[in-house]
Parts: sequence; structure tokens; C-alpha cells
Amino acid sequence: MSSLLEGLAFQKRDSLLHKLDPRVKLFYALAVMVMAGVHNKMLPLLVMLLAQAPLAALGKIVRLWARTLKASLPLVLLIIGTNLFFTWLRGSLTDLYIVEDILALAVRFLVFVASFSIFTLTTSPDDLSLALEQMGVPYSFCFMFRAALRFTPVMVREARTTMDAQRARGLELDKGGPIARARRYIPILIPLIVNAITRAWSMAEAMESRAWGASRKRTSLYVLRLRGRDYLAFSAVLFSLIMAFYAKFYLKFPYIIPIIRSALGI
Amino acid sequence: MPIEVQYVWYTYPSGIEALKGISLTVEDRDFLVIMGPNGAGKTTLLKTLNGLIKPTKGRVLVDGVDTRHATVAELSRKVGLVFQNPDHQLFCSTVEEEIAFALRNFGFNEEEIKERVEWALETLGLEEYRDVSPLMLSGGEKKRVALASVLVWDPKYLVLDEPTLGQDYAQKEKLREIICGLLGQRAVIIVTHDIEFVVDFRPRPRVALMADGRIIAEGKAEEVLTDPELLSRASLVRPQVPEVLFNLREKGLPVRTDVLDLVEARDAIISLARGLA
Amino acid sequence: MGIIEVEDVSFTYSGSKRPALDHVDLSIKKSEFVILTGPSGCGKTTLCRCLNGLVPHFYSGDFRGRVLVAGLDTREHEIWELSQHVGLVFQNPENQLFCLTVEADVAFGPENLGLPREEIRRRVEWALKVTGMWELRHRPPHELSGGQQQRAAIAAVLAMKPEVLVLDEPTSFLDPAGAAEILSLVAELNKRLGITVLLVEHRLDMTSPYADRVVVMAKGRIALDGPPEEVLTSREARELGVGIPKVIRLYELLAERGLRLPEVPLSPGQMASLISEVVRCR
Ligand SMILES: Nc1ncnc2c1ncn2[C@@H]1O[C@H](COP(=O)(O)OP(=O)(O)OP(=O)(O)O)[C@@H](O)[C@H]1O
Ligand SMILES: Nc1ncnc2c1ncn2[C@@H]1O[C@H](COP(=O)(O)OP(=O)(O)OP(=O)(O)O)[C@@H](O)[C@H]1O
Ligand SMILES: [Mg+2]
Ligand SMILES: [Mg+2]
Repeated sequence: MSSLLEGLAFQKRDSLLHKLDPRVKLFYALAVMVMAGVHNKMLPLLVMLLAQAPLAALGKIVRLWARTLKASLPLVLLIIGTNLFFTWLRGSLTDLYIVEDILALAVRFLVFVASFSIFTLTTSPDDLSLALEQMGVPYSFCFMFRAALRFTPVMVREARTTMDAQRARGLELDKGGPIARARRYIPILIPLIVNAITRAWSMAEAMESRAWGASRKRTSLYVLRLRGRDYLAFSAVLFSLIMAFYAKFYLKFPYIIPIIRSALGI
Repeated sequence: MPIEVQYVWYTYPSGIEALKGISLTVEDRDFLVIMGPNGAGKTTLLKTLNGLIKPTKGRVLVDGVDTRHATVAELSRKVGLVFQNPDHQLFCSTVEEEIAFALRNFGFNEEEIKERVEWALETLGLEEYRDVSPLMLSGGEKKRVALASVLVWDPKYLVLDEPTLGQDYAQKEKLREIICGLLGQRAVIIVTHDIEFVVDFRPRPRVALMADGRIIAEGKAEEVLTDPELLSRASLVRPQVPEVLFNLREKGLPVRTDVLDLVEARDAIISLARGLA
Repeated sequence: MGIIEVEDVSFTYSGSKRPALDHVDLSIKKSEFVILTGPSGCGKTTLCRCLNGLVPHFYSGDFRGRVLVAGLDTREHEIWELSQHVGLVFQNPENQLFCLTVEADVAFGPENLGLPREEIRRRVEWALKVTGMWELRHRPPHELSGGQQQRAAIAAVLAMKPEVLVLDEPTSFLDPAGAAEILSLVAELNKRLGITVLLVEHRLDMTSPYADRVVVMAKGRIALDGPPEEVLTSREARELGVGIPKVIRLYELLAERGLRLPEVPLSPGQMASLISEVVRCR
């Protein structure tokens, strides 16, 4: 799970994808979501998944991207497992086409993860919050979002230190039954909560001291401006979106199981 | 039997090499101070002593036991580690409970718990706060409670990470007094940035300097803490007393510079004055 | 009139019985370098909070007397107005840097003020340059050393163009080299740009050479106030538990033995010069 979160964290690289306007990338992530949402057959979904690999390469994040996908496999298996189970309950598991549809669901989920991870891996939270801000989302909301991301690693480190400090006082976390174990987390949770509150308080103090909440309208040092490449990327995404809808309504996709079968000669 | 750190390397999962071949021995009733810049690996080293961190290479032996073959709880009975920030560990509703926490974990009986808590409260001068919530105390008092909560099981090796941080002068003097009272019966290991605090200890500790995951010097305080080259490698600033003497030497006056003690320095300067007169 | 005038101020945090400040009077002139010290819990941080209006606007409680900052009464002006005159730097650099690059953090204050973009850019560049952070401006703060983080925090406050810089134990998380770096930066801002400095510190050995004045607080009151040479040699300072720098203690030990130096030394270098003068004259 933690590596899934890690795979979503921004990675600083020098790539075309990183330089792209965050709004375009956000549009891309949402568009892929819609495309994958309207399709439910294996073939188009598989195409969508594979088509993203070159993008990951363009963003120089292939390894992390692949790791994120791998980290989401347990969830994928869960989706497949539960669906298979219910189909089996209904007694229709004998139909291979139904199995393919179930697998397609799992691929759809992978498509979501793939596009979102490309988006978050190449977009710094500062850029994202700037994008949201320029799209009219209130600044305080954007700031909260950004600060949450900024302080997550700090809190994780603090949790580790607290755990270490209590273990150094003889606390054994993995001893005894489930209730006893849960109780052992109290000495860790209390300092964590207390510290989170103190930290929030001193952050608020520091923010106030730097004119947070001044009554005038806020300006931003950075402005996002769409450039040629952004329009190009935007058009490409829009085109794919239109194509996906066209395909949905005018094309009929074959199942791939018979294709594989005939190819293998079974 | 001692703690033996033998050629220890440690790399964090994130890939940072924090320890690069550390070797160090802490004898029974030893008094050792470890100093060095931010990020030198001091805290990481301390965590290897009670098994919170297991070396990637090399080994740590605590009284002959390899830390890889014992639990943190077992090792902690011998190696009591007090963390830098008391806010990371204080959680009970009273100081008394806080101090008893470890004893309960270690399975002491109620009678002994009472006796030991009493002793720890007294040793650290915390009797008046026994029923107060540790969260309500001042920074200095919190640090003392954290120290008491470890000292209470009387570990053979007492390890303190930056005990003077954020303390005022009087609190530091009080801490020094407490530490001096503990010396001689157990080993004390202190990590600190506060060079003037170290210099004022009697007896003087042995000093190890760390930089970039390595120990760059180890020896008597008088030697290590007056050596300009070592000090600058460890991001330390020379204590004021030898700095005065060093400046005199630079001006061509014949004085020793490996002096940390005020009275000794006074005598050196007085005799210099007489000698010239 | 001083740039900061604290006039008979008392303050009790709401929910607390004891006053944190008890009839405090303090006047600081423009371009002065003042050190504020005193035992833990004596009210130093609370006094700092009074200077940019955090007390009484952010921390509520019973506030008496008045504080004037560049002529503005802190009760009548909001924190964001006052923070353009008094910049506060806190102890823990981690909690005062919120953005993912140093530059964005330095821009945060001026952005909040709603200044024109060009003006923000000018100020950010200036603040980064005077603090020596220009090269590091695109780095995330959490990847910097403690000393660099604290410099970034100072830059962020300077971008508000305050006349007064108030620093509450800014070096306590840093190693000695990092601490020295911050102190010399602050001293330079004071000397070169004439920025008034109020520095809260326990460690007077490092800081007192820079100071025009040392103010000692005790139990919410101002106990001592004067030039460092005077305050640090006084009997009261010892009784209040102020850490007297070693050079001053050595000075006193020498005096007991009849070796009187013409001045009270504040730094080892100064002391060595004084000694060598006296010794050679004899
Ligand atoms: N939990 C962790 N995960 C990853 N890296 C870490 C972790 N803890 C410390 N480090 C890194 O290991 C190195 C050594 O850190 P350590 O905390 O041991 O230094 P230190 O000498 O105690 O410094 P300080 O004086 O600042 O306390 C640093 O580069 C630090 O960033
Ligand atoms: N937010 C708060 N709410 C209630 N009481 C507080 C608050 N902050 C401080 N106090 C109390 O006010 C008094 C003065 O505290 P202050 O923090 O100003 O001292 P200080 O001189 O800065 O101490 P230190 O050297 O430990 O930082 C203390 O008794 C403290 O407990
Ligand atoms: Mg450390
Ligand atoms: Mg304070």
C-alpha cells in the first residue's frame, strides 16, 4: 500500500511531460477516466492501457509507473476474485466470455491507476494547486491540499520516531491477541495526535505572520500560460476522447478469447 | 562486558547511507560524548545500540549478544535510549504513570514499580509533578520526565540524544548535576551539539567526532575539542577558553592551547603575564 | 520614539491563571541589535508574539497596556498589516516553510498582500539574494540542511520588507556551524541594511558580540536591560541563571588575580587582543 502511495508522489524530472501545463494533464487524466468508463470490452481497454506506456516513457517515469501498477495488483486481484465468486454463485462461470468481461473490469481499473499515476508523478502539487486556483477553486482549499501533501512525509517520519521511542521503552507491538495489540497502539497514537495539533498551531502562527488572510485580493507570483505544446497536447487528448465515443457507438469490438484460441489453434 | 560496534554500515530503505563503517567500543561505566554536524548519523548510530536499527553490514554486540539475535525489548533492558524530542513519547495522564510505563512493559511487579518510580522521581527532582500531566510541563521538565522514564529501569548503558536542546542555562546545569550523579555506576553516552556543555563536565568524557557517517576522531576531550582541523570537519566551533589561548598564541605569546578549564586557563595567562614582566 | 514601544504591557493567556507578561516596558530604537534572554517560561516568546499582533489577535487573553510598532498600535491594526513592519522567525524551520520550493515560500507573504506581480518578483529576488539562497531557490525546503532552511525562513520574512526582525531561538535545532551561519547573516542584515533585530537566545557566548543591548526577563518582567558588558558582569544576571559566556568568566577570574583588562571582552578574539596589550605593557 505504501508503495502505491509512493508511486503517486511527484517525481522531479526534466521531461516534456513535466513541462506541460498541469491543466492539460488534469484534463488528460479525467479524459482517460471517462474513456475507460464508457468502454467495457477487453480490447479497447487493453489498447488504452498499452497506449499509456509510451507516455510514461516520455515523462521518464517508466520504472515508478510500472511499480505503481504492480503495487495495485492486489486490488486488481481482489476485483477479479470477488467478481468471479459472484458469477460462480450465479452458476454462469462456465461462459468464457463472461470471464473476459470480468478481466476487462480489472484492466479498466488499471487504466485509471495508470493515467492518474502519470498525472501525479509528473505534476508537482504546487503546480496542481496553481491550476486549481486559476480554475477558480478558492485559494485556502488549494493551500490546504498542498500543505497536506507537503507534510505527509513529515508525519510519516514522526510516526516512525514515536514508534521507535516507545519500543525503546519496552513496548512490543506484535505480541498477544488482536485487542491487546490494538491497545498497544495507544502510546503511539496519543503523541502523534498531540504533535499534529501543535504543528498545525505553529504553522498557523507562521502563516498569520506572513499576512495569511490579508483582506486584499491575493496575487500569485506564478501564472500558468498555455503554450503551443499545451494546445497540441490538449487537441490530442480531445481527439482521443472523441474517437473513444465514436468507437463506443459505431464500432463493435470482438472478444479476444476466440482470437487467441484460433491463433493458438485450440 | 562492553558494547562493541564492529565496522557497522547502514543504508536507509530510501537509499541514504547513514553509517559507513563505524567501529566503537563502550566499556562498562564509560562516559562518552558523540558530536558532529546535522545529518552525520549520530541518531542512527544510537538506534543500532538497542537494535531499533540492524546493521546492513558489520555487527553490534551488547555484552556479547549480537543485536540481530535479540528483540528491541530485550536489548533495551541494558541499553536505555532517551530520544531527542520528549513530545514523541509522552502520553500518560500523570508523570508517575509515564515513568512506570516501561516497568509494566518489562513485567516488574507492583511493589518494585512503586519503589523504582519513587527513586526516579527523586533522582530527577520531579516529586512535585508526580500527579501532573506530562503534556502540561515546560520543555525542560518534559525532557527530565523522558529521562526518568528510561532511567527508572536502571539500564547498564544510558544513552541520551541531545539532552540540552532548547534548555536554558539553569536547566542545563541541573541536567549536568543529574548526569554526574549517574556516572560511575553505569555507562553514559551523550550526543550533543553543545560544546560548552561538554567542556564543563568533571570528569571529562571521552569524545568521538562523527561526520558523514564515519567517526573521524576519538579521544580525550582536551585533545579532540581543541584541534582546529578536526573541529572544522565536525562543523564545531572551538570552545571559548582554548579559542582565547589560541588567539594569544597567534599573537606570538607562548601559551598552551589544549586547555579547556577556566582556572587552568587563568593560571596559564597569569604566569604568562609574570613571565613577560 | 523607538520603532518598538512596549508600554506597561501585561498579558494572561485565556485559560491560564498566571500572567505570562507582567507590566513589561521596553523600547527598541531603529537599527538596534537587542538580545532577549531569560529562564525557560519567563515570557520571551509571548513578548515576541506581542510585537506583530499575534497577541492579542491570534492568541486571545487578557491584554493590558499598549504596543506601538512603527507608530501603529497593535490593538488597532491587524497581523497582516503589522507583519509588514515586524517579521517573526520561529524556532523550528520545518513548520514555517509550507511550499515545495524555496522561491514559492518566499513569495507566499507578498502574494497574500496582493502586491503587483512585478513587485513580488523584485522582492523575492532581493530576499533570496541577501540571504544567499538565490542558487537554492528551486529546491524543496525539506531537502535543505537545517541552516539553509532557517535562512529560507528568514528570506520569507524579509520579503515582507519589515523594518524589524524578531527571531525566537532560531538556531536551537542547528549544529554550531549552522548556528554561526545564521547569526552572521542576521548581524549582516542589521549592519548593512539597518534592520532592527530582536534575537531570543539562551546561548550568549555566540551572540553577545553582535549585541548593542541585552535584555533579561524573569517571571514575565524585564529584570535587566543594558549593554552586554554591563548586564553580563552584573550579580543579578548570575542570580537569574543567565549563562555567562566563558570569556567574561575568565575576565573576572583574571581580575581576581589582579590582571585587569581595560574592557569587558565579549569574544575570544577581543579578549586575546586585550590580554596581549596588557601583558606587553607591563
Ligand atoms: N528514517 C529515515 N529514513 C531515511 N533517511 C533517514 C532517516 N533518518 C535519518 N535519515 C538520514 O540519515 C542521515 C543521518 O541522519 P541522523 O538523524 O542519524 O543524523 P544526526 O547526526 O542525528 O543529525 P542531527 O544532528 O540533525 O540530529 C541523514 O542524511 C538523514 O537524512
Ligand atoms: N499558547 C499558550 N497558552 C497558554 N499559556 C501559554 C501559551 N504559551 C505560553 N504559555 C505560558 O506563558 C508563559 C510564558 O511562556 P513563553 O513561551 O512566553 O516563555 P519563554 O520565555 O518563551 O520560554 P522558553 O525559553 O521555554 O521558550 C509560560 O508559563 C507558558 O506556560
Ligand atoms: Mg539526531
Ligand atoms: Mg520560547
